Amino acid sequence: MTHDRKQEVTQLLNQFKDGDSQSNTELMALIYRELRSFAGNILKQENQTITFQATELVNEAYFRLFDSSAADWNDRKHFLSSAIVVMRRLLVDHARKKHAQRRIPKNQQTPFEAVSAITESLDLDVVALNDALDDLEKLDSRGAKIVELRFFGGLSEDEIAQFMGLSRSTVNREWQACKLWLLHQLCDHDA
Amino acid sequence: MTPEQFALMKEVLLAAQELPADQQQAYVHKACGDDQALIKAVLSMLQVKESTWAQAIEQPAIVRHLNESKRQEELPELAVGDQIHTYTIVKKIGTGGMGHVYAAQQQYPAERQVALKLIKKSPNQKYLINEIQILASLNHPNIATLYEINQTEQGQTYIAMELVEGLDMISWCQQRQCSQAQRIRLFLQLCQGIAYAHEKGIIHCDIKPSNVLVTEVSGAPVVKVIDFGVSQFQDQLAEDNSISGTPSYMAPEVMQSQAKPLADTRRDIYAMGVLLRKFLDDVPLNQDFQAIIDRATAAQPDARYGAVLSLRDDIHRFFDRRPISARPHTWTYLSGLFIKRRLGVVLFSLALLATVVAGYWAQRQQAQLATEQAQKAQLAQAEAEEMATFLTDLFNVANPEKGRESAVTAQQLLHNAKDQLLAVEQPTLSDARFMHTIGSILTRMDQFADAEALIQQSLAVKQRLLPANHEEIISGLSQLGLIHRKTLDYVQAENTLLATIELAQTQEPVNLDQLAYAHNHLGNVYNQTRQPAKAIEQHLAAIALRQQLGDRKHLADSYNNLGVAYRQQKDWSATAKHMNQALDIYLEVYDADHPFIAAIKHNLAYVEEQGFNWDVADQMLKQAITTWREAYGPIHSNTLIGITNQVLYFQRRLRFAETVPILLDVIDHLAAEGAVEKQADFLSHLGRSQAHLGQVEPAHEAHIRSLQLIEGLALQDTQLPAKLHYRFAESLLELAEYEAAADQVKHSQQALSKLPSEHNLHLYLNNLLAKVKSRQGDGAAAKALFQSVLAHNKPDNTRNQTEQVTALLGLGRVHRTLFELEEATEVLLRALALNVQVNGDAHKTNGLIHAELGLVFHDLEQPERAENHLKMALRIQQRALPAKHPDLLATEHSMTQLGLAMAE
Repeated sequence: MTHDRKQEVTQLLNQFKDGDSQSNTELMALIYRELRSFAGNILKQENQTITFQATELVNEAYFRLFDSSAADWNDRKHFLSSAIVVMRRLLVDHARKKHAQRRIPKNQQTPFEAVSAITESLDLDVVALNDALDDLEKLDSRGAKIVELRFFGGLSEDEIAQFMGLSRSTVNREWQACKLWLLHQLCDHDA
Repeated sequence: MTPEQFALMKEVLLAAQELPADQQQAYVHKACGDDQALIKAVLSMLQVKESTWAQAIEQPAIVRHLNESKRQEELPELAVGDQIHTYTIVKKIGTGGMGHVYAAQQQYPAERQVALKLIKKSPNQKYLINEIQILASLNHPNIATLYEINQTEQGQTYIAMELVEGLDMISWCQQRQCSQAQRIRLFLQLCQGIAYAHEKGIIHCDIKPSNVLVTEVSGAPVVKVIDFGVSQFQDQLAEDNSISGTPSYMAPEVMQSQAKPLADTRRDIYAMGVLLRKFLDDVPLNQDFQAIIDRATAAQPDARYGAVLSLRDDIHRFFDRRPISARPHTWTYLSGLFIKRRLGVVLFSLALLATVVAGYWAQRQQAQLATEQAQKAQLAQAEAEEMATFLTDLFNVANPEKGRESAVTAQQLLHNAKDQLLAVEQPTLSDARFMHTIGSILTRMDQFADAEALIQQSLAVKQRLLPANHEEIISGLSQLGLIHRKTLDYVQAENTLLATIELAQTQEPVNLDQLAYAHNHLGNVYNQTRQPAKAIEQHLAAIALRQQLGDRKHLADSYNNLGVAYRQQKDWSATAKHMNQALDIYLEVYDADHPFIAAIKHNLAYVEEQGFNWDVADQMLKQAITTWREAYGPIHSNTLIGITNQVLYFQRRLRFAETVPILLDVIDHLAAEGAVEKQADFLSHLGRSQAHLGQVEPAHEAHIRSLQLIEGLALQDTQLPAKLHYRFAESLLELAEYEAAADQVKHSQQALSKLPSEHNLHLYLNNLLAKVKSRQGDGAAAKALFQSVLAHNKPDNTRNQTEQVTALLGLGRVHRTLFELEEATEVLLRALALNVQVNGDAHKTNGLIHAELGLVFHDLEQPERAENHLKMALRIQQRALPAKHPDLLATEHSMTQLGLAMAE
């Protein structure tokens, strides 16, 4: 990671703090590019424990993009929030695209399953979950944030607790309840 | 929901979670007060906790996403034109969980298009490849065939399957806006396929719309289940505990299971239930059907149907308006169905028959006891008559599932009824009517002797008490004609039916229905005595009347019978046209596996054979026999006709080995029933197959046994001994035992001594004997015999003309061997012209004649003409005959001898 890019990020954050909303958009685009290329790198490596790498993804991006020594806590928090929003959008877009591919156009000959059985199997419908999370936001914004950080951001409960200034047990309780509510919404959609 | 309500819900949910499972429900009820919606929501959320989704959400989306992407990257990819063993990739048709799917062309062992699936590598695949070979044994019209599972040298595993060009079942029906009945018929096909596989112990494990395709075969929709057992294979390949399948089609026990769940038929049944519900989504369902779906998709596996066939049976019952097993029986429910059933498809009901028979006797005694109650009794009698009509209808259609089991008892019951009726002194008109009813039922059950006695007696009473042309007498006469025809007494049948028609025409007004019925039966008599011109006349008369009456079902019967007549005239296009007219109507009014539809398929099979559509003919015959066997039992006359035609077809295609188990099985059944005549008949077919397989001893045994069986018996089929002898003769000719063959021909001739010498059977026997003589090298005797056939030329009789062709061809051969080349040319060209006229250009005998002509012209030193004829012969025979047919081999041999190239 070049020093220039880190400076660019710091600058964008500062502009944002000064009230320039355009800078936030640019920051998001930057994070987006970085996350994509990083994810691509992971995929190219053989025999890597993806699970480990993925949970570190956001933190990794943070270190790579962000000059931590130069920033205060609020900057870091803002950066993480942005990164996770970007990640959420990325995943939902991807899931949507996959949905679109799967949908079998009517009146068209479709020999065989045009559908991936493994990826489809038991998979959470990320798009539906995203919609449900938007609904949750209106009912319980704190709970929704916890879900977003955990499910879309890949943060651990400790990290979330620290990030949001809550106790770990609160985070866990919120997660347990909101998770069930969301899944229940999905079941309803299915039926 | 408001944020406040949400907060409350969260509290209750979290508190309930802490409690042991058995206390949760009570707590939730207490905590929520009377907010029913909240109670319901919380309880269902507590259930969600156990689902696989609850596990899935614990894993961050990004991890899953990366895992997936990585998996996709690993899937091997091929380009158009790439080669995998014997397959060449044509195009990519999809991507599945296991890998990409391609359409590929195979050259060897068969030239065909296949669907080729490539499977990602896995350490235990070699072991599994052996396991999965069993899938290749699935051979069913509703299952896409798995051709091969194999591995390339590079360790790439692939599966080659039948390529199905079609739409998934749901889209197919949406596109055509299919009715509920049409959809259910398709679903029943799915049941057949799955039941077949389950019987073999193979579970699909991933039944869903995209795995159930509909394709069209000869214009009819055929369901093809693809990817059978593949998903199980895939599960076993997976290194983790992941299972494949589609959540909404997955049985709860599979969803919840921690370890890999066992494959179980009820897993498929669940998915079929979900599919059925989805499939009938846009049609309103009645209670019965809902009950069927509910039972198939019960959460507890034990509460589901135990087998696909039970599901199928329930759907059939629903169709037939009989009680379904998924609903408990109550009296009102049963009687409600009883009424509906009367209006719709009628089915055999033993209990009902018993009630009517018992009721009739009670009522009769009552009438005798009290004359003042006569009027009341008459009312009861009117009811009984109506019941009688109903009962006769019942027997028209045997219950495909249950008819056979109860038929034994029903037969006994009817037999008793017959004895009681015939013992009645001074029978009344109502007795006569009951005799007619029971007689008609017995006819349907092939109990001709009992039936005839009853009908004769009934007619005698009616002729005494009713006007001569009364419709009841006419219907009795028609019935008698039918019995005569069924017992092969064609002379009596023709006379009876001609008299019936004459009598019916004197009615005022004429009962068109009865008249049509008599014309139809007479037409069938002519069909069976091979007088197609007369048959066509009668059937056209019946058709005109039935069109006038708007009687669709019987109109379809007549179209079929007309088709049979045209078939005898070898007018294939007229045959196909009329039979398809019949099929169209039948498909409207009956279930797809109705015996009448089987009858048409059986008949069309022969037409397909003439068009060289071997596979279609094969399938149609098989389907017809299966249906008949299920509906009527293994030795019903229809089933036996189907089997005979299948055996003859296989013999024509040189598939002798396949006929042996079929024949042994049917002979067993016949022996068990003591049906000696038929047993002898089938034994002689067996002998013929064995002779062609070179099994000298068994062939002799079979033929001799067949003759011994009928020795000294009074036979229904008077021509049977002659047939047994000449079939023996044919086998002996095949085995090159010429003296013995000649002997058998002579026996056969003696057995037919009552028939005039110009009868087709005698011509056939003379031709056969001539062939024997000519093989023995006795040219003079052969010539004389062939000429005796030619002396009886009847140009309007197709069977006679076939014998003429055989005689001309045989004579031509004899002339050639005697170097009478000009005579040979003349006779053979006559044979060719006649056969083209009778059987068309492409007929296999033309091949034989051309080949013979080729040799004659070779001897005449006209090499160009020789070559032309031989090439013509080869072309015809390659189409019309199976590979390695002796006639084809002979032609090829001649060409090699003459130094001609085989390929054009």
